[in-house]
Amino acid sequence: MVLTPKEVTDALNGWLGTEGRANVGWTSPGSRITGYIVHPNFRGLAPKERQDWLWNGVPKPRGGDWTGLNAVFKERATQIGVILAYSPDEYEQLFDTETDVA
Amino acid sequence: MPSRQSYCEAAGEHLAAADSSHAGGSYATAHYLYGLAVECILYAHGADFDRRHNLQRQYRSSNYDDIVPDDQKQDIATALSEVQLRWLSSDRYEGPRSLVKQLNARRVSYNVRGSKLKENSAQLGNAARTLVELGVKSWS
Repeated sequence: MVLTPKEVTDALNGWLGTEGRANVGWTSPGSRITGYIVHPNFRGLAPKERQDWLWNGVPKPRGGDWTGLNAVFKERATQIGVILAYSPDEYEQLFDTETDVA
Repeated sequence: MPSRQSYCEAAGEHLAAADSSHAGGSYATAHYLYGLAVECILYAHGADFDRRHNLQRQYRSSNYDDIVPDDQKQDIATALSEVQLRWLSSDRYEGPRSLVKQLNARRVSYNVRGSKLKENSAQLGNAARTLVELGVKSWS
């Protein structure tokens, strides 16, 4: 069953809540879904740990009940490609624009 | 405009030159060349030109993601993030001292003992190598 960008966006926004946002999509139909997410809790967190949160879930002591893309989409997670994770200030620096997150 | 094959060759050339610069202690030069090597490998895989040299946009417009094995997605994302958070195309105009200031402003030089430039160059080199080697391998 084909995974859509909307399904991934909805799952990520459910995790990130109102403080964050997700921007993912297909490069072309049939390609993997790629993009980025933004959230204040990524501030000061190493890129490797951000990826671990994204794909494998957030450790309980750090809060949240996010189980990660692998658990949420199971075998369909192979239809998702590289997703980068930024803090809001990193996003502003890299994209030179204001974000609507804290 | 160079061909994709030419960009691929340039990526390998810049990576090797960056490694030599790093080994010789020219960390600011190595820093710039590592980032340039990553840009070249993304262009080799069809990235659109981005006037701000934004690696995320370049990645998304390329077909590089198609060559990333499923079990390496996190490693590639980590490597791309490391490069993007440390490197700007305009760093070619920075001397060693001003580059340290830039790295501090980008908050990528926390808790570094010793030379921040050397440590940054080493981290950037590892990330660039991950991206370039996979990209070049897909051509062979």
